[in-house]
Amino acid sequence: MKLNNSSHLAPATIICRSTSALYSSIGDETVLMSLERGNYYGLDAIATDIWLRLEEPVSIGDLCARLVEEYEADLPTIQQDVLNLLEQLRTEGFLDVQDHA
Amino acid sequence: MAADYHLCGWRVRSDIDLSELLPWQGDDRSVDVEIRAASILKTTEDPVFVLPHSNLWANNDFELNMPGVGRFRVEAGCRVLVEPAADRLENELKAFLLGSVLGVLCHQRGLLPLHASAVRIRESAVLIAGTTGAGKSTLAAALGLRGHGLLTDDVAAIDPSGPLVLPAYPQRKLTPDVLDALALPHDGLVTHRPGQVKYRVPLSDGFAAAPLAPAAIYILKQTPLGPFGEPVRLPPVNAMAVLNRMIYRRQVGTRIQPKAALFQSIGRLAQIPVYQVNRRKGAPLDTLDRFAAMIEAHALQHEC
Repeated sequence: MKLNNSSHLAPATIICRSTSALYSSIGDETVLMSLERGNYYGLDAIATDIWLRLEEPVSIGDLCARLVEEYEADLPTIQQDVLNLLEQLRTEGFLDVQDHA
Repeated sequence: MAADYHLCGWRVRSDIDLSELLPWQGDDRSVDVEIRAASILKTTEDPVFVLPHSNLWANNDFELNMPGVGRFRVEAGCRVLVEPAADRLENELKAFLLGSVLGVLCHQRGLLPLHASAVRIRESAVLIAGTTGAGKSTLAAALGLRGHGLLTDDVAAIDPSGPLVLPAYPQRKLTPDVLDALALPHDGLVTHRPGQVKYRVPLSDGFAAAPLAPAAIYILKQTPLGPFGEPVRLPPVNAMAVLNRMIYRRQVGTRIQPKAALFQSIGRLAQIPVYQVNRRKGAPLDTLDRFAAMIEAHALQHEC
């Protein structure tokens, strides 16, 4: 699998936590640190829930489909929020993005 | 003549006088840390990290070389060699042994040393952290006058597996004006380091000699407004970032300990509430007891 960290994220994109990302759970929030950059980043409760679902590679479409079952929002809203979050996580170096097959 | 002392729960055997530490009164376990006066051989290998006066090698051996004081070599978290300079003052030797050397020992032993004071409130430790000059020792001393025992004045060794705050030794560093404000005598005190305006003030009673679980952390911050504000709880990411900055001998520590291990230690400590407290720089010392009373009341009401 090739790493592709510049292209746009789309429902078919497969994503996974970066191996250089450390995280610590505090209450229902999470603090991330990048081993490479040393930067800290905080996740609220919902972002924490999403983070915990990224241990294994998953497509953004599948991730959003599962979130629709648990949160009271429609798919387009969830997809937009998830893409925003993932884009930030990628910028901060916490996410590996793989080319879809 | 070597003697056995207590420091952070370790049995420390030292042939350099460290009479400000409590004598070892624990079990008959083997010595945890040995401090010896010895000549230090030159290391042929190149260090992997160099700071002014400090060298760190790949096996985490550390050496501090302070002109006019001496050389200190710290190995494997259990051995300290000291080669005093010919013209050194005994006092200065101790300042580095109980400062930098203690910090490096903590890192080598996988502990988290924080630049913080710690006092016992009820049966918990309350940590008071802040940059140099923020007023940690001053607040700890004012809390001491309100009846709260001291675990450590300047460097808090934290066992992250508890977490537990490990008691250091019954001595504080205080400035003359704080001594006056707290009505403590100056007689017989020695300055911490020559030219420094802090006195070493032994604690005759009120030392908390047992490890305690921390219940709250107060980060002192100097501000232009004051005299002081209410504690404000920091969100987790800010709490961890500020604790990360408060790691004692941080630059060396982040090279001795794996970054992931230090991050996890900070994460465990940040499970307890971290508050920022603003205090005006140079706030009149007659507000000190009110400040200590406010912290005491806050800790008792919320955490202890």
